[in-house]
Amino acid sequence: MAGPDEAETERAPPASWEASVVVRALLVGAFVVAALAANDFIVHSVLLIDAVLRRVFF
Amino acid sequence: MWETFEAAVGFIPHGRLLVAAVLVVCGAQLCAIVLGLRRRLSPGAQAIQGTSLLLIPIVAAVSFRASWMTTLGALAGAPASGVQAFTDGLNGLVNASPMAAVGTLIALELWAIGLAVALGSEPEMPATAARGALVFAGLSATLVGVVLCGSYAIHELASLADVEPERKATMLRAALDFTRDHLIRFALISRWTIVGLGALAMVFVVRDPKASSRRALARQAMCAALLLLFAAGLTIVARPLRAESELAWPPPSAGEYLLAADPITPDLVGPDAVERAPVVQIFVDRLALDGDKVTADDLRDRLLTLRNNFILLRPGVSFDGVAVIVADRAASTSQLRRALGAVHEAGYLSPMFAFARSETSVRPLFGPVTRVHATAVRAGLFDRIDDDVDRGLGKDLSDRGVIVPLERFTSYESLARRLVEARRTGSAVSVRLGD
Repeated sequence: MAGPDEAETERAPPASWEASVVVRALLVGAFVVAALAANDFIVHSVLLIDAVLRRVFF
Repeated sequence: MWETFEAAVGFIPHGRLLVAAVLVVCGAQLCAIVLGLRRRLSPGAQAIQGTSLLLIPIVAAVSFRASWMTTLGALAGAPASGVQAFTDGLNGLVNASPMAAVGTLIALELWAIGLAVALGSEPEMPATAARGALVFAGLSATLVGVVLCGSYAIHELASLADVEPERKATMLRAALDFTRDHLIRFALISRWTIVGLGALAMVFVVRDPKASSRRALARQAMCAALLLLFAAGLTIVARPLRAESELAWPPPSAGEYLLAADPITPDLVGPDAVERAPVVQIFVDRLALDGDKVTADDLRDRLLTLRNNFILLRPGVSFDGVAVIVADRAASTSQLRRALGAVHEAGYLSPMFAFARSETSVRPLFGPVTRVHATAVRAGLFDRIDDDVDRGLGKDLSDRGVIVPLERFTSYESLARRLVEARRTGSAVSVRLGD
């Protein structure tokens, strides 16, 4: 998986490699956090049906 | 759970075709992701191949139509075969819906990842975004869990139809506990898959020797901020749902039959469980039978009708003479005598004096929810004529246990206390109606 970021690197002055890694890592981390939040949301939405049924038979 | 899933597929008209459609479409999306990673699929081509997702709703629509026609046909057909066909039709609809919805969702998720990967091969888009988007594939385990647990829950709910009412709540709770545990396990698999895919993407990031332009970095930072905003929004929305699902419900109550908390009964706990029987409510100013306001004469007549129905519907089964008495703690002896007299005349000689206690639980999402916890005292009921007749027949009267004469008490509160006290010694107790 080669990085296509290099195309942009050619057009504009590049930032330092360290800064690039930090920002890219931040982006990946944000994807992970968003996916974990989505996972949590799906599970608790489904468990809401469970709660409604328990409420009915309370 | 897998057996239940297979059974659920069996209920769906063209069920195997629907499963095949989901698998084929998801497989095609996985192939598209691989092609995208090898830069052999343009974003335009990926967008167009997304139309293949329509295959799932199309097959689902065919299946829904078949189920619906079965249901309609059942309504028009002969009653004997109609009930089964009606149930089959509904089963088809109920089982196909979550399968089609979650199948489409998984395929859509894979398609979106494929699109992100294909866009990542374009010079305008940073590759990191495409790599990062792959972590969403980790949600698949949760979505599969939703389908399996949903099928199982539907199957268990359907099976409750043939179960005695007193076992329904316990069985439902067991089924819900089972599906909940499994769904949480699937979610845990998803969580670790997401973290694992994230770690893999991070390895690619660290190993990438190229430095990005400042503009590309700014765009990536903006994208990260948007994602974090999205995550924060989801977390805020999910917070009340999480609070609700994480707070355990109180254990099932023994007094589940008594739904009415009126009138306010003496604050006592009886030694017997309430049985399913006609409920006679004695208020200070009126009487009611199963919630309907009645006079003392109506009460006697309607109880007689219920008794006759019982005998007609259950030939060979002896009538137990049980009626549940829910009386106001302030009810006077004369009000009790009038109501219990009607109960006695109708032949209900084993009343259960019930004591209801409201139990309120505050839920994060539903607010205060109340249930009535009821216990009872099983007693006998007789009058002086019964005494004379039984003596004349030479019956042993000792099985009446402790005799509690009604006229000795001024209110139901004191009578009830005496009944509970006597019954707690383990002996039988009977109420003797005065003149």
